[in-house]
Amino acid sequence: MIKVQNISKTYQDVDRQVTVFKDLSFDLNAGETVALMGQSGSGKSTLLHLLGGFDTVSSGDIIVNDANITTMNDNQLSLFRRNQLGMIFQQYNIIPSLTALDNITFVRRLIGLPAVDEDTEQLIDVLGLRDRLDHYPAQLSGGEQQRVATARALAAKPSMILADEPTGNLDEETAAQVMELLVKAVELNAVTLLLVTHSQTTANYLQSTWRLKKGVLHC
Amino acid sequence: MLKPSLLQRVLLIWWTLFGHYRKHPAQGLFLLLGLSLGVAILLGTLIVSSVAKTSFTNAQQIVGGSVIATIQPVNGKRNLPQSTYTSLRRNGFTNLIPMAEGRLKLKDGGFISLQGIDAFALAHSTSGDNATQTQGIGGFGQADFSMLAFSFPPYQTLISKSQAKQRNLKDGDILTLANGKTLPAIKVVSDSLGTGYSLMCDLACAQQMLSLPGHLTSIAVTKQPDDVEQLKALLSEDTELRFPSKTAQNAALSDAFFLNLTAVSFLAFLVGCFIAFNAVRFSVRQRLNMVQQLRLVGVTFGEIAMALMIELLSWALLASFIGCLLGWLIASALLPDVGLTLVRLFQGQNPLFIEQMTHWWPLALMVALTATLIATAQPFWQLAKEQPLQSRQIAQSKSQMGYAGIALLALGGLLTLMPHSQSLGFVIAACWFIGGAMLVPATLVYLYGVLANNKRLVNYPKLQWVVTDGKQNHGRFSVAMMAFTVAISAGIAVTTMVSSFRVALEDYLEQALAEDLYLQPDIEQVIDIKAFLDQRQDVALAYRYFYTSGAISTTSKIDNSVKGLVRGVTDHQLRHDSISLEKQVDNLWPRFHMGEGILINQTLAFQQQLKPGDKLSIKAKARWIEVEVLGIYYSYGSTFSAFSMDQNWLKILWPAVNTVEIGVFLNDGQSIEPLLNTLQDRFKVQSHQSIKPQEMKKIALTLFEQTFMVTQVMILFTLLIAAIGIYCACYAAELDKQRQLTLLKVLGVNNREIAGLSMLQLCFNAIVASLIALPLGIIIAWASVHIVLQYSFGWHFAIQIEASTLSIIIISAVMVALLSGLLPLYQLSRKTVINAFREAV
Repeated sequence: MIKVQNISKTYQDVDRQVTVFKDLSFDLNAGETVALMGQSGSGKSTLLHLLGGFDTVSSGDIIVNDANITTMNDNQLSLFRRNQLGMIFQQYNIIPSLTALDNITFVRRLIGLPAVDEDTEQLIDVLGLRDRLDHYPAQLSGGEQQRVATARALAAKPSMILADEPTGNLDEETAAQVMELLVKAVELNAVTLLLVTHSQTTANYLQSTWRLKKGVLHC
Repeated sequence: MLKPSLLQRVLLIWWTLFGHYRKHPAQGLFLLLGLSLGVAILLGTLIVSSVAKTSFTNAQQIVGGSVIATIQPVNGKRNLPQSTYTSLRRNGFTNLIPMAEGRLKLKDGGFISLQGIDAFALAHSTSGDNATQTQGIGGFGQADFSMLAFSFPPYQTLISKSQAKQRNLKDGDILTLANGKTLPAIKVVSDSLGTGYSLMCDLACAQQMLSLPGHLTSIAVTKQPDDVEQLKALLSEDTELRFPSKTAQNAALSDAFFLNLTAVSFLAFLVGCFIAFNAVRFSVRQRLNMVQQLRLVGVTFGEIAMALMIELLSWALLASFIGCLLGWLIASALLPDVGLTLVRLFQGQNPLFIEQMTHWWPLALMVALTATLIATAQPFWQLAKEQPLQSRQIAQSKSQMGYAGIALLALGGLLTLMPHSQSLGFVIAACWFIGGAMLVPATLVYLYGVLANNKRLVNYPKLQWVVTDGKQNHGRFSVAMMAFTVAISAGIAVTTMVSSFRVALEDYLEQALAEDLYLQPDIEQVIDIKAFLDQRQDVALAYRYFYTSGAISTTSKIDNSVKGLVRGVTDHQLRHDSISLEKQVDNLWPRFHMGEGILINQTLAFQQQLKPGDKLSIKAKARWIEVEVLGIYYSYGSTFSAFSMDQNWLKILWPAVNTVEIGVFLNDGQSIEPLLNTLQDRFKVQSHQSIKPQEMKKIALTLFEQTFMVTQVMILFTLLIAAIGIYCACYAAELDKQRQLTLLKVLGVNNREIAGLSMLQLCFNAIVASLIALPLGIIIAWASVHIVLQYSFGWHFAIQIEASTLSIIIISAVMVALLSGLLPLYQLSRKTVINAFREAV
């Protein structure tokens, strides 16, 4: 359960203060999948980054499973990300020096879970990565890299997945493939998903679509 | 619309490319720092060397032109009649200076060294070409004839400024001797007059004070005689023309000292170039995309090349300005030390050089351009020829670089088998230097590969990241670690060279001045004094020191004999201990004293290519006697062949040789003063007839310490540049790693853990590089000493490895490397993840 309460985000741009959004509040229930859409510069990614603790709010609170992440220190935030969060970026962002399997299992091993369990095996099959496990990122296509990033985000069984335009760099066919697999995996694990996208097609895979316009969220 | 000119387009491109440094000022700073420091250290050393050499040359010329030889008494005589001098002058040998020198005891118990010189002879000798050269730097040049007033009533005793300060004397003071006589009033003069440790007065005065009426202790020859044989023929059998001994030795040491300085500065220059290279390479990596964009919008290869050329020249010009200024500051900081030490060692003085700086400016520009070309040519070329949308090679050519490194190391090794020369020595050192540095990236990748293959690593994901990242992203740190290796090995090489040189000099002093007392009594008293000393309880050994000159030849080349000094060695442990052996046969001393062979010095061994066990012949009693080389002892700067043999055997082979010289070793804890007083009371031994070698050793050691201070300062500069180099290189590599570290942060690794992982990787890299740099530095020092020095001067010294010093260098270097990682990590920890991602390279 994610509770966002009156958050505001402003930043200093040379000689003026820019307000991205002000007094934004919403709830996101466990297992709910939401597409967040809006014009470029509307603050979609910023909102996602705030929910992941990657950026700091100017005011307000973000409560994730009863814990306020806006008051957490670096160590607590790291533990929060490690244990509860899965993040998927547009630019795959997988560790280039590790194989696909090591990337997928990295967070699991970080938490102290066995590298691979039955669910992980299933995830690998669902995402169609079985034959690519020993390959390094440089040896994988864009779609495969994004599937590895998706598998990594899901493998450690987080309560929440934040995805920032995960299909933005992919062709239509691959994008559809990745989305189908992502939704399937999310439903399988009852994970909350907030996905930023510009594509209505991508948004259609999810339960609901929210729009962010001029700092106001239209749910 | 006006079409912009080529220059305008190029300037626009240059400004665009230069924008990178506006965004990353640290890279520009590192680049400039590397170039400027490299230029500064090289220029500073060249200035110091040049000024010191000029000073040394001038100092040698002060006493009426360079003293190229001396006429000295031999066959046990301690002085020569003054008539010898007048006779030589009458026969046309005018470039001579009669001298009376000796030590005198003062009323307060101290001793002074007094040198009496004939002012007219001095004036004559300084009125030639040499005087013109010395003019303006002090000395008895033409402009300073007023200084010759010391030889005219009311007479003066000249003392150098530094000596006067040490003895607390001022103008007009009167020194009273132990016998109640007084010296003429003190006149403090510039150090550049070359009086050194001695006090200088008129010849007649010195003769009176030293009880040498009508006699001289030596005659200095200031110009090569036209007919040496004629001069020799005019000398009596009790006098001998001797060509340089002490002066030549000092010159050899001086040259070695300058070679050391120059080597240090070249190493520092190289490290500076590496810093710059690393900074340029990093900026090139980051600007590849920018150049691709420029190429995409139609900028030509030529325009980019020209823009980069402007950038290159800008850096060179800026570095030459800063380098010249820093070089001047370094030289200014060092010259007082050089001045102090060379004044005392070689009786010279350093002229002011500030006005000469304009002469150094073109050199600074040339050095800066060279350094910039070395550092930037290859990366800039890579940047200029970047094609639009070119797919870059992901795999680095680490194995090729590793093989090239091994090949260079092997080539250096093979070259050691070739006939040695000075230039070959430098080539060997360069091969090892570059080869060793090139080996580092490949070694690191190999080691990371071995670790990555460990199956258990999968249980430690953070450690796995350290290892796999180190293996795969080696391109990020390869140049940094190469710079790190070059910097450490340069530090180790220089430190090893200098500490070895220092030990060698201490050994030399130990060998040359081993006795507690050295006596040169009158010939009639020698036997009585020796017998008296033998009976004293406080004397451990009193021996008469016999030496002569003899011809030596290898058995196969009897006709090509060389002359050398033959020294006698008595059969006593104390005498054995005073000879530092480089190589020797088993059971040396019993065989030596049984007359089975001789010991030869390094110079003779090098000239004749001899080693222990080889045979050579010595000429005695008009016949050749074959002897075995039983050992080789260190020459320590001597460029003359010499050998030692059992003293009894020497007296048999050269029965005519006599000596007045007696060396005395005291038992432990015994004082020299009671013995000296007894000798003075009983045998009327004059103060100038005794020398206390230990006192001289103490003074000499102090002098060498001061001389080495200059080299130490240079080493410190080199290490400082190395430290800056290590910092810059590692800092750049750490910046390059930011994206990877940010990614770890996204995945839930906290700042402390990230810092630990990053430090672990950096520490591993630094330790591996250090372990390669350690032997590399030592073998480079070996090559410098055993090949370059050996070939340049005919002698070498043993390499001394000071484990503690080397450990400090390595530990410090690793610490600097770790420190360099701290700032980027701190900056990373202060950023939000998303900002770190945006700003990451």
